[in-house]
Amino acid sequence: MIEFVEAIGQNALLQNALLVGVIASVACGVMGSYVVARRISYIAGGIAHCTLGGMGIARYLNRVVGWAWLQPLHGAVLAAVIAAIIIGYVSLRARQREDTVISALWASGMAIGILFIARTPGYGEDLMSYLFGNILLVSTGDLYLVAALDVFVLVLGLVFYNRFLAVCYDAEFARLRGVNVEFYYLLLLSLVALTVVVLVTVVGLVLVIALLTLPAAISSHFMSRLWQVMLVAIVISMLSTVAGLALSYGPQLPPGATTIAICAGAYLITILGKKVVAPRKNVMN
Amino acid sequence: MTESEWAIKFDEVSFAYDRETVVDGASFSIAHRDFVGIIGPNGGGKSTLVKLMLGVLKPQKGTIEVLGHTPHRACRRIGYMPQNSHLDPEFPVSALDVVLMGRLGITSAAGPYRPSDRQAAMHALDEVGLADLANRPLRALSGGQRQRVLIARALAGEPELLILDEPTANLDPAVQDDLYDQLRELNKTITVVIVSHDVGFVSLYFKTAICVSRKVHTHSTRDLTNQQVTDMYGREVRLIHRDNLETGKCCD
Repeated sequence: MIEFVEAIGQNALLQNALLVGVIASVACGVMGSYVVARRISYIAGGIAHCTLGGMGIARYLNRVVGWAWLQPLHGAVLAAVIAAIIIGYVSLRARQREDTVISALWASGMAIGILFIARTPGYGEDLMSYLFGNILLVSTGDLYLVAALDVFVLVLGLVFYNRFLAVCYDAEFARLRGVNVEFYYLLLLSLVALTVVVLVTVVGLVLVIALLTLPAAISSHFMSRLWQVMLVAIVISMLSTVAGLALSYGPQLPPGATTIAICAGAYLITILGKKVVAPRKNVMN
Repeated sequence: MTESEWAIKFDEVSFAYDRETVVDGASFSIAHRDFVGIIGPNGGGKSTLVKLMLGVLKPQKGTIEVLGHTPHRACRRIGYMPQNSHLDPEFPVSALDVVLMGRLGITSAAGPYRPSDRQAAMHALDEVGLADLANRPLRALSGGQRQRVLIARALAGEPELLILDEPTANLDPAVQDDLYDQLRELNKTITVVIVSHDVGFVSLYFKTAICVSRKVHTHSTRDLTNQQVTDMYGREVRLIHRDNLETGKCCD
């Protein structure tokens, strides 16, 4: 811990990492709350794993074909949004086959990514950082992209708050009120996709789902309106990412995994705490 | 806009899921400010009939006119309360949040609700007797209270036609009576259509009964006989008429 505090002043990479963690937490809290309330974490998981395809292809084009301007994160953005729209469309049209299609996309996205990564020099370390994140290697360019995505997600997530809320709670009713349910559902999933990309830089795509859903899940145990759930989820997410960085720095643990372990611990304590408190509440009712 | 002759008009409407015909050649008209009960056995097509009125389902044959337009164009002028069962009771919203959803289509296209939306939503909550619980989380409300929140949501859009699917399903009899009193009050200005399984009490509450079991028949509830209802349900069903209830005897 002390090493961490001392290092913040001198280490530019650590400063970037902290900044990314804090910025990412905002989008994470807002969109994670929608995901938990609407119960679509499986869809978010599918989107997250499809980003590997985009990152693999982008990295191949960058290193082998020589498109120097194309970064893996750009590929991730594209792949995530395409995956969101395909999965969203399937979940609107073919309810009964939804899980099959999501699983298929989930695995195919990863397969494509691995194939392209295998065909690109420098196989090992990059794959690991995509899968499990490496917040300490976030470049300043990545930082700007993450910040831009964050602002975009936040603005749309709040401007259309009422519509998203209505579509998540009761899509049929929203449609009868003249709301274009398909449009808002796909927009919501696209914003989830962009949030997933932001979080991939923090914890990697395998761990994204935990960071997206656990803070909101903890928060919704205590808060009963969606905007309140969002605010508290943002705070929990910020605390977890900062604590993850701080605790992992000295012993040189992977920061992404440390962050998730903290989130999961907090979630466990919340559930157990509720179990202890809940019986008393039942008596009151 | 000239007022149409009928609130709802079905002309030779048929609807089938895949090959199974659920509504078969339904023709009926509902007058403005009528108080209508849609009754019939489970699986007889009550909810299908409602979904046709709302434009959620499109008939394979026949035409439907609601408030002088196609159901699709009229649906924003309808206040609709679905069955409670498909909604997540743990969803993080307050009673007022839910009722405000009834203002969509009236309020601005993006951004927060307007003060006028909040007033209308509070007024609707007041009409169902829940104004005090406006800020209560949905998950802290009882089943009956949640039901009334959904009725308030239907009222918040200031509808000309109110369609309620099984509004009394979770209510105990006293609350049920209160609700029908409130609905009768609303019925002075708007048309009310209710899907109900309480067939026995049909004539206590409704002016007109639409009996649905594949075929659709309308009756004035005053003229509805035990035999007609029994034929529809395929078993003995007793009707309770208001006059009989008041004099303390059941009709036979």
